[in-house]
Amino acid sequence: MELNKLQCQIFKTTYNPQQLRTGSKILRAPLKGQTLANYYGPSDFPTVSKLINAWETEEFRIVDEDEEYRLERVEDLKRRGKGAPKKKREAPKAKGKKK
Amino acid sequence: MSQIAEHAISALKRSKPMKRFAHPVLAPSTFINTRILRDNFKRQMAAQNEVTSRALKFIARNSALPQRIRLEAQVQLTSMPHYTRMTQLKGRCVDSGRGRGINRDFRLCRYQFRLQALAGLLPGVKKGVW
Repeated sequence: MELNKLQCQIFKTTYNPQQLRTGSKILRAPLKGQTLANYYGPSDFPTVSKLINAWETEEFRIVDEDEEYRLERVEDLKRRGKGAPKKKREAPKAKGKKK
Repeated sequence: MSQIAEHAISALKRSKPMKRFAHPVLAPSTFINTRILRDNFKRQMAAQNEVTSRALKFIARNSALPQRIRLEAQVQLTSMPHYTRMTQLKGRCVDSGRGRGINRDFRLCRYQFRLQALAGLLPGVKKGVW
């Protein structure tokens, strides 16, 4: 008992003769919230379209390859008559009452 | 040139906090779908409330403190909303939003991992041949 106490004094550990559960391991564990919160990366990381919006001028053009591919594909579909249907000008006629 | 730079920086900084959750959170810059938004919200909330819940847990588990205080701390801990809990978090694929088959080191699902590894987008990853 005395030896234990002395040992604790020398090595600066907590003297806990009754082996009480003090929950110190909860305080000792490192905080991991910030790591978990950064899982999806920073929210203000710029996309290509944002970069184009921000930087493009008359002399300085930026090419977005994915967007260009999409536009090309849409054009191609339209040429083959497979494009998106045209929007209706008039509201569809009200249907009669069903019997 | 500096004027352009200023304009660019202001345009890049513009990102609105989302309103659909109990507390506004910024949307991530990666692939987005509902489940990713939900998980991201939980992650932000868990990080914000980490110190509080840790302190409450310490009080509740400390047997040197009076029983009444410990009980009260436990009640407070359980009355915190579900989105503040670490156990609610789910690893999701950063590039496709898939919730299963995630490689935690790369934060990718197995299919995205395969595609990107074969395309040479993951440094140091090589197809095994023997």
